[in-house]
Parts: sequence; C-alpha cells; structure tokens
Amino acid sequence: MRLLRLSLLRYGHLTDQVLDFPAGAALHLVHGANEAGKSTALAAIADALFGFPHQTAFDFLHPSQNLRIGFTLQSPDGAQAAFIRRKGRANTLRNDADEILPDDSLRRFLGTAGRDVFEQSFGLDGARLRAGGQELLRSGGQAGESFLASTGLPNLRLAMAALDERAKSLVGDGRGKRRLSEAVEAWRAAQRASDEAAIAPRAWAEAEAALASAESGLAATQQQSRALAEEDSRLHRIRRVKPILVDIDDTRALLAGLTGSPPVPPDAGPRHQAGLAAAREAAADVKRMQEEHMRLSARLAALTRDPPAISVQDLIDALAQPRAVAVQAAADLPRVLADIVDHRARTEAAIEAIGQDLGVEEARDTLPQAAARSAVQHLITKREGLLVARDRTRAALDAAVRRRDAARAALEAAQAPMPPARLRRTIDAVRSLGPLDAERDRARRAMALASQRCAAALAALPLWSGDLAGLVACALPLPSACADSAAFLESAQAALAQARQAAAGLRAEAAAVDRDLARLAAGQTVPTAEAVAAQRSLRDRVWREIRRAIEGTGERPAPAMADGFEAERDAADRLADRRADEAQRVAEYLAATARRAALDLELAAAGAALAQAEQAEAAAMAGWVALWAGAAVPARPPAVMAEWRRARADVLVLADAEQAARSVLADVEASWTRAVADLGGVLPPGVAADTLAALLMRADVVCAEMEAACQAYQDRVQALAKEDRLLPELRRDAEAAEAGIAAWGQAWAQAVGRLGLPGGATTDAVEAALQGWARIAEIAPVWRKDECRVADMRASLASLTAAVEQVQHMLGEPAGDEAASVAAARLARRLAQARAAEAEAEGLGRSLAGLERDMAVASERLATAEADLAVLRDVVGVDSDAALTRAIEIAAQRGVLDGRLAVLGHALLAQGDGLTEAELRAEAGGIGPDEAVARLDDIKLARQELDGRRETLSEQRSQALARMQAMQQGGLAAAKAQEAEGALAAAREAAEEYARVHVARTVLRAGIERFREAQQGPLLRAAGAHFAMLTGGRYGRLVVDEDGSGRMVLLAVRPDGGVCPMGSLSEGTRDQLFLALRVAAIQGYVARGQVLPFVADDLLVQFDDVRARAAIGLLAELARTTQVILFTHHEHVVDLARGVAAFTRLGSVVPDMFHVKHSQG
Amino acid sequence: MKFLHCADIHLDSPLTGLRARADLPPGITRHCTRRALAAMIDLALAEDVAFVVIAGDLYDGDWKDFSTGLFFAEQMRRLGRPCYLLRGNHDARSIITSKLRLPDNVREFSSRTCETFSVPGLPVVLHGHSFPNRAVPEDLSATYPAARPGHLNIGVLHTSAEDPGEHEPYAPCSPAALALKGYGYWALGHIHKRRELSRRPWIVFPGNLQGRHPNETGAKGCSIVTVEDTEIVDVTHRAVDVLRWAALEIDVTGADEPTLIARLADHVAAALADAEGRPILARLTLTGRTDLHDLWRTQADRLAAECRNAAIAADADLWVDSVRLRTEPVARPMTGRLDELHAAYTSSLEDPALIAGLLEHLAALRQKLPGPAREGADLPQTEAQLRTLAAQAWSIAADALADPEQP
Repeated sequence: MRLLRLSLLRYGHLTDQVLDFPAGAALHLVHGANEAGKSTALAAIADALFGFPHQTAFDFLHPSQNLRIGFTLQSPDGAQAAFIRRKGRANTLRNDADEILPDDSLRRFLGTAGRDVFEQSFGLDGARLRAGGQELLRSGGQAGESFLASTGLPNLRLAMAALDERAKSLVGDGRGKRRLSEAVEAWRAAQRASDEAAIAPRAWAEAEAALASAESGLAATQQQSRALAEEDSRLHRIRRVKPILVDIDDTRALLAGLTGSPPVPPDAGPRHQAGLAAAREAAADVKRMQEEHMRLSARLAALTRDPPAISVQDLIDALAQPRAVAVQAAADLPRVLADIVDHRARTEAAIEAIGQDLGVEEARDTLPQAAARSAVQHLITKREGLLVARDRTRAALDAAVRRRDAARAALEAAQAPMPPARLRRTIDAVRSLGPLDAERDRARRAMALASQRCAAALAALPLWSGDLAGLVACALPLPSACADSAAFLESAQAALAQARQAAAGLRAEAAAVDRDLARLAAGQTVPTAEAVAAQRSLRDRVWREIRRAIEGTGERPAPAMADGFEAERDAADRLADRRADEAQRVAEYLAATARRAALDLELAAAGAALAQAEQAEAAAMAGWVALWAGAAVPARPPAVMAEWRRARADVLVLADAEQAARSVLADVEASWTRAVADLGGVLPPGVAADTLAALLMRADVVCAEMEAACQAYQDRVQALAKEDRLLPELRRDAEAAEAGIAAWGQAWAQAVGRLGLPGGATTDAVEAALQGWARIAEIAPVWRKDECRVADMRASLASLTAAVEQVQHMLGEPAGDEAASVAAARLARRLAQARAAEAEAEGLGRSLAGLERDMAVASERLATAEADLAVLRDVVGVDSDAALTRAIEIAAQRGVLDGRLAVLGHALLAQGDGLTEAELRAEAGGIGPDEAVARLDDIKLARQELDGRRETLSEQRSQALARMQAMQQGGLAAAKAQEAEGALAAAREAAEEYARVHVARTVLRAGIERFREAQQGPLLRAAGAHFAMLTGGRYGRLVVDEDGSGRMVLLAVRPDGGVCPMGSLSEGTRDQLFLALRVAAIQGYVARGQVLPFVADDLLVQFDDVRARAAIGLLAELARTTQVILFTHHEHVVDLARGVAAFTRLGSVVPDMFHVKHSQG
Repeated sequence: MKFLHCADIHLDSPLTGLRARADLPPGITRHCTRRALAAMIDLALAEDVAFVVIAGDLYDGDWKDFSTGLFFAEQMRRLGRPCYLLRGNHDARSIITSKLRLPDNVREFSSRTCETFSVPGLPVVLHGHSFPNRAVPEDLSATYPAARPGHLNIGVLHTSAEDPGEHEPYAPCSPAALALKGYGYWALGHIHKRRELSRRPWIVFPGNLQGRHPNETGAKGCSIVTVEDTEIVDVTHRAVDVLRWAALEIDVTGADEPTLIARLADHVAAALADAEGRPILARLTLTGRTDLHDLWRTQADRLAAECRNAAIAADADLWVDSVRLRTEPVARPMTGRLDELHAAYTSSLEDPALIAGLLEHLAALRQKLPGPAREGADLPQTEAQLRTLAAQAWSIAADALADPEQP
C-alpha cells in the first residue's frame, strides 16, 4: 500500500494543508521547520488509516466533530482511491463525495495490519531509535530481546520481570511473606482461635453446678433474714408508739381546762380581720384620688393652644410634596441649563463635519434615518471586498496565463522519453530469480567442498588403489550372499576352535593323570594287620606294668616306665596310620589307571573330530575367497569386508553429492549468464558490472532515471492540461468582479443622495458626514429631554409660591421676602405645635373623668366594710371589737388541741402497723426501752452477717448465670471458623492467580524462544547486511553466540573476524544496529504481506554525514519494497539525500529520485 | 393440623468459599445458620405447627463448640412443642449431641434400630433411624416398620436416595421402595437442594435451611405440611434463610458498555425481587463474544461496583462475591504486533516437556494449599485444563508486554 496524498483539511493547528507523495518517487522526504506540523502530519497518517482514537489531542483549534483528514491510497495492484476520515463514533470513513463507506473499505489497502503494527513497527523516530539502541546495551544484545525489540516489542525484559515479580508476590520462593503464605497463616491462626473459643461440655456442667449451689445458699439465707426482720419490726414499733401514747394523754388533759367561753362561728376570725382591713383600705383610696384630681385640673388650665393653624391644617399638609419637588428643581435647574448650552456647541461642531449649511436646531430635527446611514456604511465596507476580489481574480488570471505559457514552453522544449517498462520488467524478472551472485558463489563453494570431501574419502578407502569410476564399477557380491558365506565361515571357524579346545583339554587331563600315577606308584610297603597288632600288644603290656605299679604301691611309677609307654604308644599309632595311608594310595592308583585308559580312548575320538573341523573350515574359507574374487579387492575376514563395504558406500554418497553440487552449479551458472544477457539486452551500451547485483543496481538506477523522465514528461503534459482547464473559469471570475464594482457605483449614488450628499461624493467625505450625523444622533435625544426638564422645574417653583401665599392670606400673615419653600417649612412646624397642644388637653380631660368615677366606688367599699363588722359583733354577742377579738382567740386554742389529738390518733394508727391502741399499749408494756435497744443491736449484727453472705452468693449466682449466658450466646468459635473460611478462600484465590501468572510467564518464555528461533535466521542475515551498509563496511555481519552466562546474545563481526559485543559499540553505532534490525524486521513484515508505508521522523539526527548518507541509501533500498516517508527539519539531511543522488550519478539515476516537499505550517 | 419438616441445618458451620472483604458488613455473614434456625422457630410458632421434624445434619460432626448445642436447646425451649430429631451423616458422631441435655419436648431417634414415636394427642406416628456412623452404605429404610393403620405415618430418613452426586452414597434408597411402605409422608434430609421425589405419597427433601456456598443459590428453608384427617393436603416450601446466594450469569454478546450496565441492573433487580429483602451475595459471570472482552478483563472491580450501585439504587443489599469472565473476543483477523508472538506462545504448548513441567509445578502448588482448600481450587490437573488456562493466561502476558509498569 502506498500513500499518495495526505490532506490535512482540519487537523491540529493545520487547515487545508496538502502533502503529495507521487507514485513514481521511491523515497519521500518531507522537510519542514520546527512546529511546522511534521509530528501532526505523522499522527494524521495513523488517524487517517485506522481512525481517530476516542480522545484526541488534535482538537484544540477545530472542534472535535469537525476534524477531517483526506487521503489517497494506492493498493499493491495499482488501484487508487481517495478517502476522508472524520472524528466520530461511527461512519467515520467517507469517499471524496462524502458518502459513508464501510469500515473495512481500507482492507484491500491495509491487509491485516493493525494500528499497533503500523505505529510500533512501521513508525520510528529519533527518540525511539536511541531508546532501542540503549535497550540493546541494557540487554547485552540478548538475542530474543534484540529481535523482538526490532519488531516493535521493546518491553520484553521488563514484562518478564514484571510477571516474575507478580508471581513472587503471590507465592514467592519460600522467603518472605507472600499472599499465599499469609493466607495460609491466617487460616491456621483462625483455626487455632476457633478451637480456643469453642466451649467444652464440661464447662457448661460446671457452670450449672455453681448456679445450683448459689441458689440453694441464697434460699437458706433468705429464711433466716426473714425471721430477724420480723423481730426487728416489732421492737421498732414499740419504740415508735410509746411517745405517741404519752402525747395523747397530755392533750386530753389540756382540753379539759378550756370550758365556759361563748360560741364563735368557725369563720369569725377571718371575717373580723377582713372587715377591719377593707375599711382601712377604702378610706386611704378616697383621700389619694382627691389629691390627684386637683393636680390634673391645674395642668389643663396652663396649656397654650392655636385654633387658626388647626383650621387650615389640610392646606399646610398639602404644601409638603410640592415643596420637596421645588427644592430639587431649584438645585438642578442651573446644571441642566449648562448641559443645553453644551449640546448646542457639540451640534455646531458636527454640522461643520457634515459640511452643510444648517442651523443647530435644524440639524437636530432633520437627522437622516439610521437605515439610510447604515446602507451607506454597508456600501463602504462592501466596496473593499469588491476591490480585493477584483484584484485577486485579475492576479489569478495573470498568473494562470503565465503558468500556462510556461507549461506549454516546457512541454515543447522536452522530448518524449523512452518507456522504462521493458527494463523494469527485466529487472523484476532477474530479481525474482533471487540473489544469483550469492547462489553462484555458494554453488561454487559447495562444488569445491563436495569434490574435496569425495577425493579425501576415496584416498582413505582401504584395500582400494583404483579411481572413483573403478570403485563405482566394481562388482561386489550380494549382501545376502556375503552374509550367508560369512555366517558359514564363522560357524566352521567356531567348530574348529571348539574341537581344538576339546583335544587340548583331553591332552592336559591325560598328562595330569600320568603325573598322579607316577606319584602313586612311588609308595612304601603296606604294614600288615599282624604287625600293627604286635605293636599295640607291646604298648598294652607297658601300660599294665605302670598300672600295677600304681595300684600295688600307690606310688608314682618311675619316669622310664612312662617314657617307654609313650614310645610304644606312638609307634603303634604311626604303624596304624601308615597302614591306612597306604591303603588309600593303592585305591587312588587303581582309579587313576582306569581313568588313563578312558582318556586314551577320548583322545583318539577328539583327534578325529579336529581333523574333520579343519577340513570344514578350509572349505568355508575357500568359498568366502571365491565370493570376493570378482570384486577386485582381496578378501579379508567378513567383519573387515563389511566395514569396507560401508566405507565404499560413504564414498559413493559423497560422489553423488559432488555430482549434485556440480549440477546445481551448472544451473546457477546458466541462470546467471542468462540474467546478465537479459539485462545487457535492455541496458544502454556501456553499462556493465562484474557481478549481477552490481549490474542490477545500475539497471535500477537507469530504470529509475527513465521512470522519472517519463513521470516528469507526464507531469508537464498534465500541468499544461490543468492550466488550460483553469483559464476560462478564472476569466469568468475576473469579469464577475468588475460587474460587481459597477453595480456598487449605482447603489452608492442613491445612498449618499439620501444623506443630502452628491452622488460623486468620495467615501472619505461620506464617512466624515456619517460620523457627524452619528454624533448629532447621539446628542439630539438628550438635548430634547433636557429642555423638557427645564420647563417642568420652572412650573413646580411657580405652583409652590402660589399655594404658600394662599395659606398666609388665610392665617392673616403678611407676604414677605421669605422664599416659598422656607415659608412652607415654617408653616408646617407651626401646625405640628398646635396639634401637640390639642392632643395633651384631650388626654387630661379623660384622666379627670376617670378619677371622679373611682372616688365614688371607694366611698361605697368603706360603707360596706363597716356594716359587716356590726353584723359579726351581733352574732357573737359582744358590743366591741376588743371583746370580739378575745372570744375568737379562745375558740382557736380549743380547735388546735382537738386537731392535735386527731393527728396523734392518725400517727398511732400509722406507726402501730394496724394494731389497736389497746393492743399497742399491751405490747409496749411487755418490754423495757433499754432491753429493746440491746435486742435491736443484736439483730442488726446478725442481719449484716446475713447480708454479706447473700451478696457473696448472689455474686456467685450472677457469675454462673453470666457464664451460662455467654455459653448460650457463644458463636465466637463460629465467627473464627468463618474467618478461617475466608482465609482459605484467599489462599485458593492466590494460588489460582499464581497459576495463571506462572503459566503465562512460562509459556511466554517458551514462545519467545520459539519466536527467536524462527525469526532469527532470515532477520539476522538481512540485518547484518544492512548494518554493514550503515557502517560503511566497518562491521561485516551479525552473529548470535552464547556468552559467558549461557545467554544467546547478538554480536557484531568485523571484517577481520573480531567480534564486538554491544558494550563495545558506540552509542551511534548501536543506534545504527537498531535501525538495521528494524529495517530487516519491516522487510519481514512486507514479505509476509503486511505492506504499509514506513514513516520516520528526524531519524538521522545523531548520525554523522557518512552514515546518514548510508542510512538514506538503506531507506532507498527499503523503498523498493515498501513506501518510505522521511520527515526532517534538517537542511543537511535534504542535502545529503541529494548527495546520494549525486553519487548515483555515476550510474544514471533520475535527478529527482527524492521528492522533497516543504510543508507550510 | 400442620407440622414443619426441615433438614441440613449445619448449625454454626461457616459459609465456604467466601473471602473476607472490607466492604461487607460483618453482620451480614455472622451467625447465618443460627439466625435461619431462629427464623424457622418463629415460622413454626406463627404457623402454630403441632410438631417439628429435623431429618438429619443438625450439626457438623467435627464441630465441638458446645454453645452451638446450647443455642439449639434454647430454640427448642422457645418452640415449646414436640420436635423429632434424626442424626445424619454429619452429626452421627457429634460430641455435642452426646453431652447436651435437650429439653423434654425434643425426642431423638435411636441409632441402633428404627424407632417409632407417637405424637401425643394426634393420630400421627413417626418412624426414624438415626445414622450410627458417618458412613452408612446400606438402605436403612428396609428396616422401617409397616405403616400403623389409622394413623398418619411419617418416615424420617437421612439419605442420598438414588442421587449421591459427587459424594459417596449415604443410606441409598429408591422412592419406589419408600412408597411401598405405605407411609403418608417421607421426611428426608441430606440433599441441600429442595426436591419432591413424589407426591403420592409425599417424599420430600426440603433442602438446607441456609445456603452456605456460592453454588447453593435460591431460596432456602423448610416445608410446612398441612394434614387433615391423617391425610396430607398441602406441602409448602417456606424460605427462612437470612442471606441469599445468587448467580448472575449475563450473556454480553453484542452488548456495548451502556447495554451491559443495563443488563447488570436488570439481573440485579431480578435477584433482589427473588430475595424478598434479604441481603444477597452474588457471583457474576459474563459469557459470550464481545468487542469489550479486553476492556472488561481488567475491570472486574468496576463490574462489581456497578452491581452494588444498582442494588443501592433499589435501596437493597447486594454484594458481588466474585466476578468470572467467560467472555471471548469477537473473532477477527490477526492485526496486532503481538500476533506472531501469540502464535509462538500457542505453538510452544506443543512441547510435552513444557506441559509436564507445568502440571508438576501446579501439583506441587496444590500441595502447598491447606487440605480443605485443595478440593475447590481451580488448578489444572490435566493437559486439557492446562491448555485452557494457558489460553486465558495469554491476556496476562499481553498486558505485561503492553505496559510492564502496571501492577
């Protein structure tokens, strides 16, 4: 896929910017200054091809929904199509007619490649290049990492480390706490806690027993306590009622002494006191009110009142509102009059700007309508646009005419070039044959090596002195016949060896028997039985002598006798032993003699068998030799001949390999020769090279020149046609612009006429008049408003003066010099004073009337009180208030004693616990006070002791109950068991997650190894060649080898064979190595059908000129298989690119091989 | 007259497979089985049942906290009417039962022979044979006596019936053989999911009282049996569980993000409606092919939060216990830079030594787990399982390659 055009319609800060990437150019160099939009264009390519991401950073100028990118693509089969990509959730892909296209419309261009492949593998900038080089250093060039990084997977080492760390955090390596071990520990702890919290049955039984014991103790204590309480109650009752009984007796005695006083009503005391108090209070009130009446009457008489003012109070009140208006009018009037003077002056100035002879009021009242002024202003504005359009169309037309003329001249000056198609087809056909130079060299080396190996093998073949042809032609016996004959020979030889071994064994045994016979024959005479008996008789006789000596005398026998006995005994023993030995020897001799005779017979038979075996072996050997007689090699033992047959086969295999290598070499040579001939047939004379690759390179250059020439000619033709197409439209535009200006002139004359200006007035004069009218338009409404205000203020002042004079006349006041507003204020104050005096007089009148009513009421109360006292004296039967008072006091004493007696009766009832007075008197008489007190002390002590015991028992019962309640409540063990289950679940979860992570990292590691093995070979060769090119041959190739740690690492190899690890390469060289790997990886992608443009941004910043030139060459090489677009802001990169073109001038490179584009940001 | 039939209370046994979580109020998961039993007693009192039948597995056999028994005794005192108790495989050897003095209203069936109890004042007899041991391979129902005429005969039996499931058979029997006994009702226990094996006569597994595992979803409780003149006229399941387990399985095929959130809310609403106000622990499983496969793979917490939000919006309690993503990406041509490495990753699984090494490693990992955790651990044990896991694990490798810095 190739990108032919990128139109940044609305994207980032760019609008309607177009980048063309002509199909004929292999390598595109886009040059632009910083912030010109290179990075924006880079991002736009990805967004255009794969759609906008959900959030974009390029909507800061154009709203997100307005972002548009146009692009034109060319598929591998040459088809072209134009698209527009917009930002949105759906239907983001359109054609150039803005019709919605399905999302997979780009599939024919993009194939299966996705955005991440494009961005990670087909995109590269200076920063990522440097990062790639640094990663090579960090990984030590570890092979898997290097190759994967070159394919756009730079995070491999970090990813594996992250997975390892994650797995370690879950399970770990036995050191430290991990999630699994923590969960297992938590489970164990919860299990222990659950076991500890579990309540045993025995604990419950113990608690039940404790409760029963406490409750029985409490019952006994309760019974004792009740008995003591009863006695305590009785003693306390006696102590309580005794004083009451004494008080009852005393009260009854006092009552008996109060007899003979007159009867008095029960309420006599209060009535007497109330009557006396009411009479005193009523008399005091009458006196106080008389004094107050006199004081108020005097104050009313002293008041000053103003009836005339009260009579005109409404008129005076009506002066207040006009007075405030008049005061404000008097203050504002001078300022408004000054404003009117200012309006007039400003209007006069505006009339001067208008340039017409007008009075100020006339100008104000004849102001043109706003629409007329706006129309004129609009025409002034429109005139500028019409003039600009006219100038632009004129300039465009002139430029187009010039371009058309130039294009025509250029086309006429150029000659039609030769078509390059045949040369391109030939180049492609030759290139499709593969690297024939390398194949020819390889075939030659293979041929030499095969010949060498074959010759060496032939020379080393034993038993053969002939040539290879003889060896091939020699007739070998059939392997089956060989096997049969060899087996027969080996069998005969084995039988012969066996016969020989048997005969030798028999002969050895016969010799041994002969030696035994000789030994056995050399024996002595055998002692007879009589000789042995005689010797034993001698021994026995000596023994009898010794015995007799011992038994007869009881003494020890003489030593000589003992010695004689021992000598006889030993002689007898030796004789018996020799007789036995000789008998055994004779028996053995006889047996050996028999065996020797048998051996003679066996030896004879073995000799016959040996002779027979020797004949059979000789016959088998003759057969074996006869079998190999036609093979031209001497017959050796079967094992030797079998080995020789295998060696001959190896030689023949090498011979076949040599023949195959020869055939391959011949084919390759033929192809090479044909390819050179084909190229030579289509190349111009003089173009030649030693190698096919060099010839191809030169042919490429020639072809590129021819293609560029053709493209340039086509461009000229298209340019002329394009200009011819454009001219009519431009002429129409120019004429339309002129017509617009004429129409404007007519409208202008009418519009300025409505302002009172001549139709030919200039725009400057009209603009000045418009400004004058605008100022008058601002002044006029304010001016009119101020004049109205002056009239209103003057009317207010006159009205107030008339009203004040009317009031003064009614009051009889003379009219003076006093201002109307001042006089109105004074009249208002006078009215206020008159109103206050009237209000006070009215209040004093109401107070005097009230006092008179109260005085009458108090007099009535006094008379009533005195009448009540007289009635009470009559009832008691006394004639004075003093006698009445004495009678009332005696009646009160008797009532107190009766009341006390009743209280004591109630107290006795309450303290006597329901017993009658008689029962209480009887109970109290049974015990003395001191005795009761002593008994109460005893009871108190006993009850204290019981209370303590009950407290203890209650505590015990509470504890037992609490313990049982806690046990019944329980559940702690279950809660802990739930915690244990939670920990189990956590452990299970940790293990399951670890399993996923471990499987992921293990299989990923294995996958990486496979990937490396699969990709390494081709990638390594291609990258090595690129690296050699980038370094100008300083390094010849790349290899992968094992380092000291057993890792497979990438190494650079110098032409002299020296190897360089990553650490010994300079930073720039590592960058170039990474570029070589990346280019090789892209070639791999391309080979697998993923053909996308390779887009590079400021890639060569860190390269010196030589290597930068080489890098451009490498990119040009890559551009043969996929489009390459290089963005840069460095002029020298552009120059270097041209320099490469100059270098290729030795051949015949088209000068414009590099399409240089200056983007305008 | 009514009676209540329940089984498999497993009093005080923990909820299994539930990981401790900070956002889950402790009161939700605490004493679930106790609260469920108390709710059952409340129901018995409210329905004024004549008696209660517990058909085995009141406790877990190895559970030795005596407070569990005390709690049961307290609930029985509160019940205040006859309760007939049978021991099952889990509580055959319970040390609690052997030491606990139960209230007089509780009668326990003998473990030596089939024992018959008459319900005082009612024409009802119950026949039952408690498990003498944890393992009972023979059919205990064979020893049950013939039906007593003129009575409602109730057979109480702890059995795996004809379906042992994943475990060994416990007192296996056939519904046909039970029917031949002539009883009016068979009160069975052991199977945790409610089943009615027959309605003529009634042979009923009431299921367990409280779900204790993510797989024990749906309403859990007991059966209220209505009797008229020694005939069963109605058997109704009544939920008494206090915490509900739910499985939210959502097919996300073709769903974009808002659609998926809406489907989540629908499923949550349905689960809440079924739970009748109970708090819910849910296991969320997404299935189907979706373009969002890669997105959701890293957003399990967000999915759980969306479910929780839906529940909060409904003023209800629901927590997601775990999220299982069984989605697959929509099949499409390989376009990524990792594709070739993915192909190498996949092909490396053809190495038998690699497979064997991984299986060996994972077997060792399984041994590191505590015994009770090994059974439910989702660790591959066969080559096929390992291949499935490896295919899923590619996403982990891909994430690490894309962004090695992320945790």
